[in-house]
Amino acid sequence: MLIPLVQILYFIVLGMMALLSIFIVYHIIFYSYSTFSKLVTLALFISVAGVLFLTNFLLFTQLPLEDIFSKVMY
Amino acid sequence: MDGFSKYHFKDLEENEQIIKVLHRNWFYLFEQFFWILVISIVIFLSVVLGPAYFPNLLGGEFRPTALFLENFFMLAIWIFSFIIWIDYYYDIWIITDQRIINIEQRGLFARKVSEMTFDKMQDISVQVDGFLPTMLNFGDVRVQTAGEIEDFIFRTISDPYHIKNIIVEMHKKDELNSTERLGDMIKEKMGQGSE
Repeated sequence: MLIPLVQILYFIVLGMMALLSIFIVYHIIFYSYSTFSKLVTLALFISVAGVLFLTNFLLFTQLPLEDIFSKVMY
Repeated sequence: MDGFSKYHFKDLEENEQIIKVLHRNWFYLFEQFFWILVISIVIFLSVVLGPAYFPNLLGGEFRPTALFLENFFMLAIWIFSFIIWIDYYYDIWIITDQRIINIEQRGLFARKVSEMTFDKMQDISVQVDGFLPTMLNFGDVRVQTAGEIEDFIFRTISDPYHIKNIIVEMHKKDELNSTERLGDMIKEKMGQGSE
């Protein structure tokens, strides 16, 4: 019961972070004052955030959640 | 316009020239980033040195959990850093030869654009408060306006005294232009009347 709850919570938090990232990209695209800064900021943000999102998801799937909760509960 | 051609603002008049584009002083950004920098260093050190010094906590069977948490914090810090950057970089003041434009970015969900022509300007003052602002030469410039228009405040900008001088100079030029225009209009009217 606890594991699905944690998984749902994780996906909600990750979804919120993804939403914030979309808003950041929106600001960079529409409010940048120069094309150069737009491209550099976009490239930097998307590449690092992309890698972090991917690795975070992969690390989460490899978490031994059952072990962790069995140790926490008992 | 020299030096500012890399900036493109959508609402400039055809013959309007940008005199100065201002951001807040770099120290404001440093203040915002300081704790983020400290937390990032702690996380980085915990990834690199943690397992050697705390094998029970950050190594062994807890390693995947520790890695996941470190990665999660890095992601949060990365996103938060960009929110701070957006708040800093997109918050600007533009002084043109015709007006002052204030683009105020507050976080991700609040953005205010206001402008003031030089004829609305009544008074201008500079405020540099504290040891660091005095040493690093940054502070606020307040432009008081006539009527119900909100005062314009350039917050924590570099070299506020120089900026004040630029605004005063632009205001004088604007007054001179207005007087010349009025003179031309009177001459024109008098010419029409004598015909």
